[in-house]
Amino acid sequence: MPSPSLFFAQLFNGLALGSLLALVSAGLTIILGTLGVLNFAHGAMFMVAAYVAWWTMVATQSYVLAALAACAVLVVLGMIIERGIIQFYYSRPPEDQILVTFGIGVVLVEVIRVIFGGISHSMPVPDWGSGIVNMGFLIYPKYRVLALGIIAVALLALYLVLYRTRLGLIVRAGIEDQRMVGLLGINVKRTFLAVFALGSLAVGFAGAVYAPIIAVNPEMGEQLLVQSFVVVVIGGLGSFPGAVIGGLIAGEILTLTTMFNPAYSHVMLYLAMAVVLVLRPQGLFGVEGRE
Amino acid sequence: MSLLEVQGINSHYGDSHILFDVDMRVEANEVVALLGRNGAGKSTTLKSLMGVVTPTRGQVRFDGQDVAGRPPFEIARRGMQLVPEERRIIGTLSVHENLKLAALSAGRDAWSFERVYEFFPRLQERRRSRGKDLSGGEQQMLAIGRALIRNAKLILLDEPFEGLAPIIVRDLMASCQQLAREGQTFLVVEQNVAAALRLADRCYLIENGHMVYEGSAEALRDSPEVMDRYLGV
Repeated sequence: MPSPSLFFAQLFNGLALGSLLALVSAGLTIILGTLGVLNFAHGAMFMVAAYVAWWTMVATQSYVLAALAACAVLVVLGMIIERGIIQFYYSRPPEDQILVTFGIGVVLVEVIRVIFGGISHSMPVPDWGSGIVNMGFLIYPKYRVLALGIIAVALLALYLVLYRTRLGLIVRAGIEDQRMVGLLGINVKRTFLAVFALGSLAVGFAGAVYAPIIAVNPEMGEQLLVQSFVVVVIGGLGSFPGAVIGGLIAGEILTLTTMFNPAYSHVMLYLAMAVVLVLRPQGLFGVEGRE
Repeated sequence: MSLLEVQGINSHYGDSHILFDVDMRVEANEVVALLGRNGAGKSTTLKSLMGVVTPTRGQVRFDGQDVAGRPPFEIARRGMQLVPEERRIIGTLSVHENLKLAALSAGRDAWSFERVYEFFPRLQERRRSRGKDLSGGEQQMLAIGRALIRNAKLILLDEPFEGLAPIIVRDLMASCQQLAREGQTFLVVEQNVAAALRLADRCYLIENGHMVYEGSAEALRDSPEVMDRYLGV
């Protein structure tokens, strides 16, 4: 049996990974729910954001600038991708959408590789985040604790956008019944650009906040993409609460299983997904009957 | 000029031809019933007016403008409102949010939330409940409430009383009659012919996608042979 302190450490690691998965998956799920497009470039966009943050941090020594730059670049990148490519795929079969977004992801990864090379970089932790915190039961890097708080604030901000604004109301309704929203006089297609930009902003912010924690390299988004898909399935397609709860569950499953045997961590994650699919096919917070 | 003038519309679902040169009109402040057997083309007619189904031929003039071929959201903004058969309340939104959603693109002279709640006090009581937790009758009130808050010039009711208990039907009927007295224009499709005739001033009968009869509700009530021929089973 692992010692209690290791257990607490892993529990906390799970929370950290879970909050990251929650924010990344939230972006993925609102794009999928609203636009109907499964964005296979989402992981690559996370990676681009981390590179922008790393590069800006090294160049300016400013964490705030790094985060802002990552968000700005990702919003613009998201808008270019939606207007330039994805908008022509809304009425095409899902295979085409998967292929084109997967292709966008490959292009992003290779462009980054050409510019920065294939090696890993590490983004320095900002001064206010260096050192450790002693939480009594656990000694933990300070930045990781702060990152958890920053992600929580970002999730809260996303919640407010979805639940307190006009755009959020249209998005939540459109995820459930886009045709009815149209029948009520709303041009749903006009919100697609904003939704894609919002999803890109979420993943961009996540990439910036996590860049100092993980190795920044061209492949860093791949595993995260797969994990986020599982989170979306567990939480329910298009559901923001589902992405948050699903993200935390997935984070804990991955880290707690790693404590016993790392080789089984993803097996357990897929097992959890299978159990959810059997007991509640629409996901924990999904809407029943949606295609 | 009539509020709604339909001339020779034809509609298809894929390869099957559903509506054949359908003509009809609805005057302002009038309640018109569209009756017919199952599969006669009643719902398709409403969907063709609203742009959910795009007519392959023909004209739909609404409030002086040709709207055939326009997307549903544009037609809704001009003041036509379909209350669909399945009601399509957004289940994850509360009653109030459902109304808010409907009010987003409504004009300035639209009904206030208070007025809708006054008209349907039950909705006021349930304003925080989620759409999927409502009973069938409450969902229908909310579906009509969404049309009211948009101040629709013409409300298309598709089977509004379907699947509801008789006492609920009576209440909803009274509500619709009150709206009609206040000048609301309706085009109603209903299997329950007696209910439809009580509500309507004028009726159309449709069979196999062809309009086969037009007349006042009274005249139709007095023509059992017509009813028998086109509505009898």
